[in-house]
Amino acid sequence: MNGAQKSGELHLLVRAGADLCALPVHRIRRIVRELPVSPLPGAAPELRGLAEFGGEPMPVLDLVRLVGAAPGANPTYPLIVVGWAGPDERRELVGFAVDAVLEVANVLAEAIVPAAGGWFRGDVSLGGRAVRVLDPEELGARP
Amino acid sequence: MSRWLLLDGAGSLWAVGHDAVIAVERRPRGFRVRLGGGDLLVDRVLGVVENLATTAAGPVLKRFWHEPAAGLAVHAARPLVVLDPERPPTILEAREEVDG
Repeated sequence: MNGAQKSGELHLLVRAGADLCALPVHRIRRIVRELPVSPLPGAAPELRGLAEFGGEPMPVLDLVRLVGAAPGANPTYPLIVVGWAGPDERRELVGFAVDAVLEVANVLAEAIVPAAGGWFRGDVSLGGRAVRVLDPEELGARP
Repeated sequence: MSRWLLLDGAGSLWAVGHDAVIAVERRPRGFRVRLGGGDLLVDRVLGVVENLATTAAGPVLKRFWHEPAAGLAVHAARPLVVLDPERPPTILEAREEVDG
Protein backbone atom coordinates (compact mmCIF):
# COMPACT_ATOMS: atom_id res chain seq x y z
CA MET A 1 0.00 0.00 0.00
CA ASN A 2 1.55 3.26 -1.02
CA GLY A 3 -0.45 5.52 1.31
CA ALA A 4 -1.53 7.79 -1.51
CA GLN A 5 -5.16 6.83 -1.18
CA LYS A 6 -7.37 8.29 -3.85
CA SER A 7 -10.39 10.12 -2.57
CA GLY A 8 -13.78 10.07 -4.16
CA GLU A 9 -17.24 11.44 -3.73
CA LEU A 10 -20.16 9.56 -2.21
CA HIS A 11 -22.99 8.94 -4.64
CA LEU A 12 -26.44 7.44 -4.27
CA LEU A 13 -26.98 4.66 -6.76
CA VAL A 14 -30.48 4.44 -8.18
CA ARG A 15 -32.15 2.33 -10.82
CA ALA A 16 -33.75 4.20 -13.69
CA GLY A 17 -35.28 1.71 -16.09
CA ALA A 18 -32.54 -0.50 -17.43
CA ASP A 19 -29.78 1.85 -16.24
CA LEU A 20 -27.99 2.45 -12.98
CA CYS A 21 -27.37 6.10 -12.18
CA ALA A 22 -25.35 7.89 -9.53
CA LEU A 23 -26.31 11.15 -7.85
CA PRO A 24 -23.90 12.99 -5.54
CA VAL A 25 -25.01 12.44 -1.94
CA HIS A 26 -24.32 16.01 -0.87
CA ARG A 27 -26.94 17.12 -3.41
CA ILE A 28 -29.70 14.92 -2.01
CA ARG A 29 -32.19 16.11 0.57
CA ARG A 30 -34.70 13.32 0.91
CA ILE A 31 -36.17 10.23 -0.72
CA VAL A 32 -39.95 10.14 -0.80
CA ARG A 33 -42.54 7.66 -1.96
CA GLU A 34 -45.62 8.31 -4.06
CA LEU A 35 -45.45 12.08 -4.28
CA PRO A 36 -48.39 13.30 -6.39
CA VAL A 37 -47.16 14.96 -9.59
CA SER A 38 -49.24 17.34 -11.68
CA PRO A 39 -48.28 17.17 -15.36
CA LEU A 40 -47.52 20.37 -17.25
CA PRO A 41 -49.02 20.48 -20.74
CA GLY A 42 -46.45 20.98 -23.45
CA ALA A 43 -43.53 19.93 -21.29
CA ALA A 44 -40.59 17.95 -22.63
CA PRO A 45 -40.81 14.20 -21.92
CA GLU A 46 -38.10 14.49 -19.29
CA LEU A 47 -40.35 16.65 -17.11
CA ARG A 48 -43.07 14.65 -15.37
CA GLY A 49 -44.58 17.77 -13.86
CA LEU A 50 -44.79 19.71 -10.63
CA ALA A 51 -45.10 18.36 -7.11
CA GLU A 52 -45.56 20.00 -3.75
CA PHE A 53 -42.66 19.42 -1.39
CA GLY A 54 -42.35 21.20 1.94
CA GLY A 55 -45.00 23.66 0.88
CA GLU A 56 -43.08 24.67 -2.24
CA PRO A 57 -43.60 23.78 -5.91
CA MET A 58 -40.93 21.44 -7.24
CA PRO A 59 -40.29 20.14 -10.78
CA VAL A 60 -40.06 16.36 -11.01
CA LEU A 61 -37.92 14.81 -13.72
CA ASP A 62 -38.20 11.33 -15.16
CA LEU A 63 -34.69 9.97 -14.74
CA VAL A 64 -35.25 7.27 -17.36
CA ARG A 65 -36.04 9.92 -19.96
CA LEU A 66 -33.31 12.21 -18.70
CA VAL A 67 -30.56 9.64 -19.30
CA GLY A 68 -32.25 8.05 -22.31
CA ALA A 69 -32.49 4.64 -20.64
CA ALA A 70 -34.74 1.82 -21.76
CA PRO A 71 -37.79 1.42 -19.51
CA GLY A 72 -37.48 -1.34 -16.94
CA ALA A 73 -39.76 -4.31 -16.51
CA ASN A 74 -41.98 -2.44 -14.05
CA PRO A 75 -41.87 1.26 -15.02
CA THR A 76 -43.87 2.73 -12.15
CA TYR A 77 -41.11 4.98 -10.76
CA PRO A 78 -42.45 4.78 -7.22
CA LEU A 79 -39.66 6.76 -5.59
CA ILE A 80 -38.64 10.37 -5.94
CA VAL A 81 -35.16 11.44 -4.94
CA VAL A 82 -35.39 15.09 -3.90
CA GLY A 83 -32.19 17.01 -4.44
CA TRP A 84 -30.66 20.32 -5.31
CA ALA A 85 -29.80 21.28 -8.88
CA GLY A 86 -27.83 24.27 -10.03
CA PRO A 87 -24.88 26.08 -8.52
CA ASP A 88 -24.79 26.41 -4.72
CA GLU A 89 -25.55 30.14 -4.70
CA ARG A 90 -28.87 29.63 -6.50
CA ARG A 91 -29.72 26.01 -6.05
CA GLU A 92 -33.16 24.70 -6.87
CA LEU A 93 -35.07 21.74 -5.44
CA VAL A 94 -35.76 19.07 -8.03
CA GLY A 95 -37.28 15.60 -7.82
CA PHE A 96 -35.90 12.64 -9.75
CA ALA A 97 -38.42 9.84 -10.31
CA VAL A 98 -36.63 6.48 -10.09
CA ASP A 99 -37.46 2.79 -9.90
CA ALA A 100 -35.35 1.96 -6.87
CA VAL A 101 -32.72 3.32 -4.53
CA LEU A 102 -29.91 0.82 -4.18
CA GLU A 103 -26.89 1.90 -2.15
CA VAL A 104 -24.30 4.58 -1.47
CA ALA A 105 -20.99 4.15 -3.26
CA ASN A 106 -17.74 6.03 -3.49
CA VAL A 107 -17.04 7.27 -7.01
CA LEU A 108 -13.51 8.27 -7.95
CA ALA A 109 -13.40 11.22 -10.28
CA GLU A 110 -10.53 9.72 -12.25
CA ALA A 111 -12.57 6.54 -12.81
CA ILE A 112 -15.31 8.39 -14.67
CA VAL A 113 -15.18 8.17 -18.44
CA PRO A 114 -16.30 11.70 -19.30
CA ALA A 115 -19.34 12.36 -21.43
CA ALA A 116 -19.68 15.14 -23.95
CA GLY A 117 -20.95 17.53 -21.30
CA GLY A 118 -24.22 18.74 -19.90
CA TRP A 119 -25.85 17.16 -16.89
CA PHE A 120 -24.52 13.69 -17.78
CA ARG A 121 -21.03 13.67 -16.32
CA GLY A 122 -19.96 10.30 -17.67
CA ASP A 123 -19.85 6.55 -17.04
CA VAL A 124 -18.10 4.61 -14.30
CA SER A 125 -17.74 0.92 -13.53
CA LEU A 126 -18.68 -0.01 -9.96
CA GLY A 127 -18.35 -3.65 -8.98
CA GLY A 128 -18.57 -4.65 -12.60
CA ARG A 129 -21.72 -2.63 -13.17
CA ALA A 130 -21.90 0.28 -15.61
CA VAL A 131 -23.19 3.38 -13.82
CA ARG A 132 -24.14 6.73 -15.35
CA VAL A 133 -22.97 9.63 -13.22
CA LEU A 134 -25.18 12.71 -13.20
CA ASP A 135 -24.21 16.31 -12.52
CA PRO A 136 -27.17 18.08 -10.86
CA GLU A 137 -25.23 21.33 -10.70
CA GLU A 138 -25.03 21.46 -14.48
CA LEU A 139 -28.66 20.37 -14.79
CA GLY A 140 -29.70 23.53 -13.00
CA ALA A 141 -27.41 25.82 -14.96
CA ARG A 142 -29.15 28.51 -16.98
CA PRO A 143 -30.58 26.88 -20.11
CA MET B 1 -53.51 42.07 -0.17
CA SER B 2 -53.26 40.24 -3.50
CA ARG B 3 -56.06 38.19 -4.97
CA TRP B 4 -55.74 35.45 -7.54
CA LEU B 5 -58.19 33.69 -9.82
CA LEU B 6 -57.65 29.92 -9.79
CA LEU B 7 -58.18 28.10 -13.07
CA ASP B 8 -58.27 24.46 -14.11
CA GLY B 9 -57.25 23.90 -17.70
CA ALA B 10 -55.37 21.45 -19.91
CA GLY B 11 -55.04 19.11 -16.95
CA SER B 12 -53.21 21.58 -14.72
CA LEU B 13 -53.87 24.22 -12.11
CA TRP B 14 -53.21 27.89 -12.92
CA ALA B 15 -53.53 31.25 -11.20
CA VAL B 16 -53.74 34.74 -12.59
CA GLY B 17 -53.83 38.04 -10.74
CA HIS B 18 -57.45 38.98 -10.10
CA ASP B 19 -56.86 42.59 -11.16
CA ALA B 20 -55.53 41.44 -14.54
CA VAL B 21 -58.77 39.69 -15.48
CA ILE B 22 -60.90 41.77 -17.83
CA ALA B 23 -63.80 39.36 -18.11
CA VAL B 24 -64.82 35.74 -17.67
CA GLU B 25 -67.33 34.29 -20.12
CA ARG B 26 -68.98 30.91 -20.09
CA ARG B 27 -68.47 29.03 -23.34
CA PRO B 28 -70.06 25.82 -24.65
CA ARG B 29 -67.09 23.97 -23.27
CA GLY B 30 -65.48 25.68 -20.29
CA PHE B 31 -64.72 29.36 -19.81
CA ARG B 32 -63.03 32.11 -21.76
CA VAL B 33 -60.87 34.37 -19.56
CA ARG B 34 -60.00 37.73 -21.10
CA LEU B 35 -56.60 39.11 -20.12
CA GLY B 36 -54.54 42.04 -21.36
CA GLY B 37 -52.23 39.86 -23.41
CA GLY B 38 -54.84 37.55 -24.87
CA ASP B 39 -57.67 35.22 -24.01
CA LEU B 40 -57.54 31.85 -22.28
CA LEU B 41 -59.79 28.86 -22.61
CA VAL B 42 -60.01 26.82 -19.41
CA ASP B 43 -62.18 23.96 -18.22
CA ARG B 44 -63.17 25.45 -14.88
CA VAL B 45 -62.87 28.60 -12.83
CA LEU B 46 -62.21 27.37 -9.31
CA GLY B 47 -62.51 30.63 -7.39
CA VAL B 48 -60.49 33.43 -5.87
CA VAL B 49 -57.72 33.00 -3.30
CA GLU B 50 -55.76 35.60 -1.40
CA ASN B 51 -52.08 36.04 -0.69
CA LEU B 52 -50.66 33.29 -2.85
CA ALA B 53 -46.95 32.89 -2.09
CA THR B 54 -45.31 32.85 -5.51
CA THR B 55 -41.78 31.84 -6.46
CA ALA B 56 -39.92 32.24 -9.72
CA ALA B 57 -39.66 29.26 -12.07
CA GLY B 58 -36.11 27.93 -11.86
CA PRO B 59 -33.73 26.95 -14.64
CA VAL B 60 -34.61 23.25 -14.44
CA LEU B 61 -38.26 23.92 -15.12
CA LYS B 62 -37.44 26.42 -17.87
CA ARG B 63 -35.12 23.90 -19.51
CA PHE B 64 -37.93 21.40 -19.96
CA TRP B 65 -41.01 23.62 -20.19
CA HIS B 66 -40.94 26.61 -22.48
CA GLU B 67 -44.26 28.28 -21.82
CA PRO B 68 -44.17 31.81 -20.35
CA ALA B 69 -45.06 32.01 -16.66
CA ALA B 70 -44.89 34.64 -13.95
CA GLY B 71 -43.99 32.04 -11.33
CA LEU B 72 -45.08 29.02 -9.35
CA ALA B 73 -47.08 28.55 -6.18
CA VAL B 74 -48.86 25.97 -4.07
CA HIS B 75 -52.52 26.09 -3.11
CA ALA B 76 -54.16 23.43 -0.93
CA ALA B 77 -51.08 21.22 -1.36
CA ARG B 78 -51.39 21.40 -5.15
CA PRO B 79 -48.65 23.04 -7.23
CA LEU B 80 -49.76 25.61 -9.77
CA VAL B 81 -48.39 27.92 -12.42
CA VAL B 82 -48.89 31.66 -12.02
CA LEU B 83 -49.71 33.17 -15.40
CA ASP B 84 -48.28 36.32 -16.86
CA PRO B 85 -51.44 38.12 -18.05
CA GLU B 86 -49.48 39.82 -20.81
CA ARG B 87 -48.14 36.51 -22.13
CA PRO B 88 -50.64 33.69 -21.67
CA PRO B 89 -49.32 30.17 -22.32
CA THR B 90 -50.02 28.91 -25.81
CA ILE B 91 -51.49 25.71 -24.41
CA LEU B 92 -54.40 27.72 -22.94
CA GLU B 93 -54.63 30.31 -25.67
CA ALA B 94 -58.14 30.90 -26.95
CA ARG B 95 -58.18 30.84 -30.72
CA GLU B 96 -61.05 31.79 -32.95
CA GLU B 97 -63.77 29.29 -32.25
CA VAL B 98 -65.44 27.64 -35.21
CA ASP B 99 -68.93 26.36 -34.58
CA GLY B 100 -70.27 23.24 -36.21
